[in-house]
This record gives sequence, structure tokens and C-alpha cells, in this order.
Amino acid sequence: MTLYIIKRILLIIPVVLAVILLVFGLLYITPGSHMDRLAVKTGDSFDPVLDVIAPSGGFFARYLRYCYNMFFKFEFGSGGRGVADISAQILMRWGWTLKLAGLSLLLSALIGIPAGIISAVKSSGWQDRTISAAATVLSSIPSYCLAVGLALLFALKLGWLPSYGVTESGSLVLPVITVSAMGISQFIRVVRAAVSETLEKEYITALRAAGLKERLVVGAHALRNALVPISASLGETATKILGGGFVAEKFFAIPGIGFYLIKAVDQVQPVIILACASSTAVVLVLINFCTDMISLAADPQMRKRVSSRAKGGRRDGR
Amino acid sequence: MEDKSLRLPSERSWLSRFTKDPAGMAALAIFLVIVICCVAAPLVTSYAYDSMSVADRFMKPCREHIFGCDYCGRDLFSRILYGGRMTLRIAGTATVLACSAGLVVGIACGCIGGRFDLIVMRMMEVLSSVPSLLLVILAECLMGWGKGNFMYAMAVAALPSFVRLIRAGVSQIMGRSYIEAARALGVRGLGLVIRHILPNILPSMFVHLTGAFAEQILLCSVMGYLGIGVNPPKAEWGLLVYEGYTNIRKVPFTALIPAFVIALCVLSVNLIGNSLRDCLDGGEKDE
Repeated sequence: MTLYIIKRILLIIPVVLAVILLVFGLLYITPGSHMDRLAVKTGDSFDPVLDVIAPSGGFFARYLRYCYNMFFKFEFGSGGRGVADISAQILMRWGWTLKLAGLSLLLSALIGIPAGIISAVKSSGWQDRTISAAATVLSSIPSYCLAVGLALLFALKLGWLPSYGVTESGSLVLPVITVSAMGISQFIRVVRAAVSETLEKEYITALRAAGLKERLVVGAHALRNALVPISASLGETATKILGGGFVAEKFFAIPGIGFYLIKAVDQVQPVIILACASSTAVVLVLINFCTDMISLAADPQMRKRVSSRAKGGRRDGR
Repeated sequence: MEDKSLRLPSERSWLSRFTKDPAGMAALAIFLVIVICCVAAPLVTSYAYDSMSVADRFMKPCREHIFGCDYCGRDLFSRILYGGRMTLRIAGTATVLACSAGLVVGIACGCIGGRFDLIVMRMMEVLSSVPSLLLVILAECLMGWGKGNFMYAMAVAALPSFVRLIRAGVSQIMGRSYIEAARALGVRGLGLVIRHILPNILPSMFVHLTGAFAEQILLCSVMGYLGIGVNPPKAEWGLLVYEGYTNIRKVPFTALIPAFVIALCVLSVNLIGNSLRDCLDGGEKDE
């Protein structure tokens, strides 16, 4: 068990390196004509972006240097004249992004999971139809369109909440609602599928036949098993919420990493773009690690498989 | 749709079930109306998407301009239609590209298996761990793939889900006895794939196709909203919402109408997908 977790932690490293390689590789195959546009202004001259983030050497030498600087010195390269310290900016902005994403994940779970359970229990009743329809509608509205509606209603017409910046209190309310809309529909879909599949199992019928109260059957027995697929899909949901948060940050001017990235795109700041992308890769891999650990905790079968493999038991070739 | 798949009896039944589902057909009708209006935009509207008239700025919806005019005095209805052309073309091309590449790679993975399969699936894992929005932004900004060419990046972003779905389908089929029987009769290689494997994965692929198309519309319009890729005065659905939002205090409808159209289009695509999936699931229960 412990061995598996250690192995899993070690596995983070190659994945992070591969994702950064992907990002870094994009820069390398950029056509030369476009490279000039990406030059960074240092002092009086314009330097090619590759020379700024990792001076001299071949592709792999530069790539390793970039990774080394990033992980051991927490440096992303100088952004050129007039650009604030990127490392400090990245740290500060991830704080806001994680706050937004965390609150959104919490809100979507609080609404989506109970709604999904109700939908599965009252399968094809009016509750199920309403909730499923709501999930489809919520997943079809682009987040920025929802944001337009929310900002118009609550900020402009009613004046209850701010729709720009983070200086006033309650400034995270509208962004969190915007991002949660997608998370809620995701949770409803996953939870509904998981619970309704579990409810068709034979042991549920046996429990019902034994005269157990329906509340206990669902709440204690079905839910425990439905937890396995739900926790398995948590990583995907979190990734989606993070991506959706980028758009909401731009819309509501939350100084998070997405806002930073999009501003850097507008102003053509390749060093910042790379730094945002690489740090996002790291955060995503860490999130996936955490959700893997959650599914390990939720799934006794997986725990058993893992510990038998760690003890040198029969390897089932993955 | 290919008539090859229509020849199989089980498939004809799910298609006929789909044509009898009122929700699915209504969604299909809405989607087709939107697509036809966008494709035939020059015939539907007499205004060009970029012709401005200062006198008409912020005009409320009326008979001449049924959706009103934006801050430049451009007819919003024709901008939505031409924007839809752009958005739907990019999203559609990206989805078709991703789907065809996914078919090839997925079938290859499922049939060849072994180390090749392992390596490709690891690559897909890495690819899918990057949010598609980030991937497209990077392709657009770092590589300078302007002029709507970021549809290739969108296709790459959608690729892993297709590969995973098709590979799972193929490896499930490969174990069935009728494949063994076909092999024993001497059907090999491409013949086996086209005749026996492909027809069985097409239905679930169509369902996934609709979902992926809806996601691509969202992704493409988000790019437009962020002002990356498509530049004014060209129209794009997300761009229209952005332009409308900058003037929302004065005229809320210039942001709300495009937003509503996007949501309606994505919703109809999603509903088509839902209906297709229900028909497919029903078919499996009957068997």
C-alpha cells in the first residue's frame, strides 16, 4: 500500500516532464517568421524567447535547463523590460485560481451529488426528468454566456454583487456560480449513472427483500459502492473546473492564472505564457494524484489489488 | 451516414427508433434550421456582416434588423449567421478531423495491441491531462497558427477521447467469437476491420461525435470570446458576445441574443446525442 503510494508519487515526475516537453516542444516547432514576433525585450535589444528562458544548447539541454530552473530555483526566465517578477506573480495568482476552483468544486459537489442521487432514485419520475434536463441545459450554456446573464442581472440590474475585480466583498460569488454550473451538470451525470447502476445490483434487491428501509438501502449501501466510479471521475471534473475557471477569471477580472495567461496572450509575452502553461501542468498532475488517492480510499478492491501487487503477488499486466 | 452501417438489421432499428423520438427530432430540426440559415447566410439576410452604418448604431430589434444593430451599426442577425458559419465550420472540421484520426489510431491500437498500444495510450493520457483551452491557446500564440487554423489544435485536443472510446470498443469486439470465426474463414487485415469491426463501433462513435461537436462549438466560441484566433470585423459567436458585453449597459440584447443562439445550438446538439444514446441503449436491452 505505502509502496504503491510512493510509486505513484514517483510516477508524477515523468508525467510532469512529458507535459512540459509538450509545451516546450510547441515553441521549438514554431515557424521562424512567427518566432520574431515572440522576441522578448531585454534592455535595448530583442532576444529570441528560447535564449531568454534557457540560454544556449540543443533542444534537450534547453529543455532540461528550463525544467531545472523551474523546479529547483522556481524561476521561469525574465519576462523582459517592464514585466513584474514572474515567479511571484505565478504564486500570487495560483492562490486566487485555486480559491475559485476549490469553492466551485465544493458548490458543484454540494448541489450536484444530492441532485444526482435524487435523479437516480426517482428514476424516470418528474424529479429525474427535471434534474436531467437541468443538467443538459447547464452543460450547454457556455460559461461566458452564463456570466453575461449573471452579471447583467445581479450586478447591473439589481446591483447586489460586483462583477469586476476582487476589491469588494462578495466578488467571488458570481465567478463561483458561473464555474459551478458546468461542475454541477458533470456531477449530476456521473452520480446519476453510478447510483442507478448500483441500484440494479442483486445485493440491493436482497437488502430490499430483507425489509431494510429504502433510505438505508440507498444512503448506506448503494451510495458506498457508487462512490467508486464517482471518485474515479473526480479528476476529470476538477480539470474541467480549472479550465472553466480561466474563462470566468477573464470575464470577472479575478487576478488568477487564467487572467494572467490571457493578458500575456494579448500582449504577446511568451515567457509568461510558458510559465502559466508549465505551472498549470504541474498543478493538474498534482490534482490527478490527489483524486487517485481519493479513489484508492473509496475503492477497497483497488486497495486489495494494489497491496497484493506490492507484496510481489501475481502481476496482472496493465 | 454510410449505408454500410444501415445494412445491419440492429442498426436500422436504432436509427428508426431515433426518427420516432420526438425530443431528438425536434432538436435535430432546430439544429438543421440553425445550420442551414448559417450556410445560406447570403440568401437569408441582405446585410453583409461588416457593413456599418452610423445612423443605425444600437438600433433596437425592428422589422429591418430583426435582432437590432451592434455598436458599429452592423446588422446583428447577419453577424450571427456569418459568425455561425465560422464557428460551425471550425468546430465541425475539428470534430471530423479528430474523429477520423481517432478511428485510425484507435483501431490500430485495438488491433495491434502490445507495446504500440501502450505507448500511444500513454501519449493520449498526457495529451488529455492538458485542458483543451490551454492547448489551443498555446498552439495559437506560440506557434502563430492564425486565421482559424487553430482547428487543428482543437482536433488534437479532442483526439484522446475518440481514441480511448474506439480502442475500448475494438478490444471488446476482438474477443468476440464471430471475429475468431471470420479469422478462421480467412478474413484478414483491412477486410476484417471494415467488414466486421467498424460497423460495431460506429453507433457509439456517432453518440460521442455529437458530444464532441458540442464541446468543440463551446471551445471555438470561447476562443472567439477571449479574442484569440478570429479577429474583427470577422464574425464569430463568442466574439459577438464579447462585443455585446462591452456595451451591455447601453444595449443588453447585443450580448444576450448571440449568447442565446450559441446555447440553443449546443443544447440541440447535446439533445440529439442524448436521444441517439437512449436509442442505442434501448437496442442493447432488446437483444
